[in-house]
Amino acid sequence: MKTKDIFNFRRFGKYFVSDLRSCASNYWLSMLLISLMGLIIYIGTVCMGLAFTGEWSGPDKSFRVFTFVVSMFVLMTTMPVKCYGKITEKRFGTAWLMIPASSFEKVLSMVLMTIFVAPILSACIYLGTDALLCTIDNTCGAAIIPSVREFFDFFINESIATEGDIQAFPALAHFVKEISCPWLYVDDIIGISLWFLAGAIWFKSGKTAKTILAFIALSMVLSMAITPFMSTYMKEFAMRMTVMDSQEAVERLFNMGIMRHAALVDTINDTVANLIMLGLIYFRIKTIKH
Amino acid sequence: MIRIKDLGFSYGENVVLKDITMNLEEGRIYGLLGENGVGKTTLLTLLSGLKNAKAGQIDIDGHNPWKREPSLLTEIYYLSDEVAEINMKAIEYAENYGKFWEGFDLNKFIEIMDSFENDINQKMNRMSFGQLKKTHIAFALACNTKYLFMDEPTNGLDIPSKAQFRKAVMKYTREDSTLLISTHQVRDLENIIDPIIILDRQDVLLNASLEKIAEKFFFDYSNDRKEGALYCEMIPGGNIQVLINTTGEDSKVNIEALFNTVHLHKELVKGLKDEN
Repeated sequence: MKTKDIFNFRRFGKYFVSDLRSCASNYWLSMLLISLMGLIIYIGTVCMGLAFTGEWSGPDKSFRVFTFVVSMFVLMTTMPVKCYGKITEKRFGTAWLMIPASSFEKVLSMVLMTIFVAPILSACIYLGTDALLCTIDNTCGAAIIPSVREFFDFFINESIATEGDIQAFPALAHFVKEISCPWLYVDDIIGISLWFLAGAIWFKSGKTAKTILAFIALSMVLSMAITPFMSTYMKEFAMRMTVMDSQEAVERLFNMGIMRHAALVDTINDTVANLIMLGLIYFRIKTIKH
Repeated sequence: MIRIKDLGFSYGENVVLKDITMNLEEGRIYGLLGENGVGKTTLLTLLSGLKNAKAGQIDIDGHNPWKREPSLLTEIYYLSDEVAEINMKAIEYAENYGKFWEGFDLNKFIEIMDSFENDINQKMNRMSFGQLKKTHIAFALACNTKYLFMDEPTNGLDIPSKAQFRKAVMKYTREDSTLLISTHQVRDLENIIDPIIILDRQDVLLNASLEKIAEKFFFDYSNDRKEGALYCEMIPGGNIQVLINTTGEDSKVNIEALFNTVHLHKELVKGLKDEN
């Protein structure tokens, strides 16, 4: 196969724009609704407050963070189905497969749309609306972005600094600090998006439900596979606890390579998992038949 | 040119196509006929790269369609029997996707839509089945591809639209285009398809031009019953009878009668296969 049949910048640009337009026509209303969920909930809460207590009270900070997370999750689960789910149907799938762009270009475009364009656009609208509301209404507490940062800062600074127990365990404190970096969770979010994209193009019906069930099934299989290793590990840890000082045992546990470099291990693990997902998505598109 | 050699395909245990060998030449409009389930749609989807052949090979200008290379896809258009109700206006659809086919002509799309009396500003998901089909036909013809495969294109079209379809196919397809049209409605396409391919279960019963068919068979439209007729059917104002052409006399091929004759005398007509 010639290189130009695998990837061509000009053709990809054209395809991406066309994909964006097609996705927008199928999903814009749902996306707008999800992106404005914060505003809708805010108006609803204020109206309810005025109706029942006669007081002006918007949703508090933690509730708004929660609804933001839920809204983004809903976006990640519904967007791939709405934009790409139809390619498993003969009527839509044949026309889509016959578009003269390579499988690689089609996959790249759908991945960019799913993990970057739609979530970033939606999150910007959501967070922008939230910030605007907090500027207008000073009873809201604080906008979502600083609240999330605050949550992680609290986790790192307050918890480690004030909890005497943790301070006594430098290795544990290092571990907590390692896993408290917000950026560490970006690849998990990408992983969830890719999982739902794969489900949307893999299953012919009941896409979201089957994707969630497949996730549960995979988690169970992985848990069963890891259990023997973990039980040996925990037995050894329990044995150490009996023969040595518990503080030393905890320190040893969190000083082990896998714990000491938890962020790196997690990043490698997620990257490998995401690459496998990308490979599966490409394989599906390359071999889909109608 | 399309070269099909020893092509085989099955759905599980159910063998649909077996050892199919034929060539499809440039500049011809092939009519693909056959009973339900003989593999007409399967053959079209194999040629379009929507399925992978289980045996044999398909070569389209040196490409294997299953690889779905953009350089080949830009020369192919497959119009499925089931068409999609896209959430876009017809003109938006044409603008959004037409640009991928090198030969796409938006003016031609508008012209064909106009001849079908279809509104280019109507949303496709609000069109009737016939209107939707006409939109996809207009798009398929406007793509100006070298290879155009159509599966039951006249299904769902009203009578004037069927005539418009025939006109559009004759007017808007490239001189060097190869069209392969699968249909059960042979009367809708009688005057435009030539050669005729008749598929049977796992086999090609006939692949011949109308000229060659007329050389071998004589189509008699008189009232008298002829002895030795391979097929006879009463039609308003007389009979249609198909006989072996022993005199070399010319006659107008009636594709429906031909189809029935071929099915009644499979072994006899196998010798007619046009190897070209």
